[in-house]
Amino acid sequence: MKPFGAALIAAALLIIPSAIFAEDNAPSSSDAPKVEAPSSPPDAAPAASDLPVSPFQPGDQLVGISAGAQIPCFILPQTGEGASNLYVGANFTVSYQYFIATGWALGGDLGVSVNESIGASYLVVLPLGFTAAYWWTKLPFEFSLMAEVGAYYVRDYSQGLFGPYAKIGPAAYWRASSSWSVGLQAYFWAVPELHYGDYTSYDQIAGFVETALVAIYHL
Amino acid sequence: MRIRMRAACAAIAALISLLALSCNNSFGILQTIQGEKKQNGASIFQETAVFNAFRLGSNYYAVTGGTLQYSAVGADSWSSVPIVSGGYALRGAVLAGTATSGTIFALIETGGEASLGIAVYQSSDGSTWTKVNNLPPENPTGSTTQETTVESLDALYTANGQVYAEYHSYVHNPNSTTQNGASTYTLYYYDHGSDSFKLVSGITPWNDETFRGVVYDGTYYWFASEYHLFVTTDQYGATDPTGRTSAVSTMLNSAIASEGWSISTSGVASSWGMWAISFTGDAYSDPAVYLSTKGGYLVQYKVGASSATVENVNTSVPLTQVTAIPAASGYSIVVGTDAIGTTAAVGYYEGSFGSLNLGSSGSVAGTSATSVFSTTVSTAPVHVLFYDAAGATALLCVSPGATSTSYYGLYASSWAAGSLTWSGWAAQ
Repeated sequence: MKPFGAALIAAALLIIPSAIFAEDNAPSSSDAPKVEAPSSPPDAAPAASDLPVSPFQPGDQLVGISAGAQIPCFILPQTGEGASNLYVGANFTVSYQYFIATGWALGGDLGVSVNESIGASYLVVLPLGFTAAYWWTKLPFEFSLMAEVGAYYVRDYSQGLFGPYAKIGPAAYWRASSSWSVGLQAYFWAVPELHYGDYTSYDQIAGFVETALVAIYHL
Repeated sequence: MRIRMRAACAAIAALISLLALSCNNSFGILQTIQGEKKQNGASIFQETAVFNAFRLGSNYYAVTGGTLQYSAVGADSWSSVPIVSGGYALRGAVLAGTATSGTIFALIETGGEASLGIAVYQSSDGSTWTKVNNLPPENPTGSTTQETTVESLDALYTANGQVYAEYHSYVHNPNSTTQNGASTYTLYYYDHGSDSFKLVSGITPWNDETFRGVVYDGTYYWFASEYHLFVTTDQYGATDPTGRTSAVSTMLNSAIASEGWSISTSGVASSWGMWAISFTGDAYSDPAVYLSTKGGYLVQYKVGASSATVENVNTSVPLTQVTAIPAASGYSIVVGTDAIGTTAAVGYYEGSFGSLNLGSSGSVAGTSATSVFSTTVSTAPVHVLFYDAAGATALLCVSPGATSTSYYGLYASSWAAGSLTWSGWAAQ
């Protein structure tokens, strides 16, 4: 599992500085005129003229925060009761994306999900991943398709493990203002638990569906 | 800005390092989750600690923090035992004697400042209860109006049909929330003939040192407190006419020295703390006395041996009672763990003495031992495992905590002698 630890460090080194220096380095998109960013979402829907005509241009950046339900779907191979031994849990994620081409963004996110088991233990997954997303708009609505790979740290029964994971899914947003979008996302998580040496018989994979409310701030 | 980035990177690297250190490749998290069994126990044991269990006649009894519960052997329902009319708070109960001819002694809080605030009742059938008339004598209640001597019986112990009670006294200053001076502990035995508790002779009252139990190994009575041990043929006194205490002390000293400890040979005071004392003398196991220490060591003395041996089980937690249970290999022992300070208990250890492992890899939890152990007791103090050979049933007494209604204080597992397997823990 050491390579995953290295991947986590690398991801952190890439994501955190990007977020820290986002304001300093963010180029303004000459093709996408914007209004001044408010400090908080407006109370009322903006006029259409307030919205960017052509968002998601190279150099644009997004910061997102989401919270929602973490629905266990399966654990394979099924050696017991499967995912039915887990209750629906919760997830929370912060994310960052940087547009490298019109509609195409790269970034990463850091999150946490928690599911309680029927035995009152808590499965905690801490994912840190690289994101690739495609965005398009039909104002005042925006849409995205996201794929992500990364590494997670999982903990339950006072035991921990690192492992890889993948996440994919769509999201739909309402552009509330020139700076804010709010919406819903539904992502599928594939979370393999991998062991080495004499313990490969413990290898399993879990699937979850994340459904969450998300708020996006357009930097 | 560069400093901020370095600090952030350093913090992340440190966090990841800490997480990596906690990784365990030999534990299957998802597989364990799949194997969990939903526990559907009785509400009376939900989030309720159970401290002791035993069998008398055709009933099992469970001692919770407040009530005595009983269930017919083989049944799946529990009811409260009406020891006295009206509400009462049970402080403890033990079975003196055997399941076929024993007597239950129950310690009940009665309140009131003019007495010990305690009553002791006894019953030979679990339904008819008789109050013990003479408890240990009380001292004068304070020498001044500022101080009051508070006295009580804290616990009952039993060995070879005898009943012992720990007597506790301290001076309480009503103007302060703390007591004045030390607590004093003495040990009394129950004299059936006079229906009274009498002082066990030869034990000087100890300051701030509680008793841990009494066991009988077939020849000798072992009286254990936290730092003292008396081994004698006299069930009513700790005087040592045979010199057995000294011999045992020397033997333990030799065993414990191998672990880097030392026991004072002046008297029998030890430099390490005992948490429990147990005796396993079942038909299927070797007769042995076990001393469970506060520091996670378990000392085994096989009756008749010339030496004792020590196992370092888990130095982070105190060890509780030891019980022998049947196993495919003959028999195993189970020893519980307790919480101490901010360190949580870890359930129990199971196996052969010298190679005990957490109950997650044992057999009494069932075929999905890891999952069921985790579901039931992996982070809970285990006070004792009672095994009834006649009913082939083990009852596990646990302090489950109050953080989830999925946690119970009493679990049962049945032994199938034909297949040499356990059914696995099921909440009662």
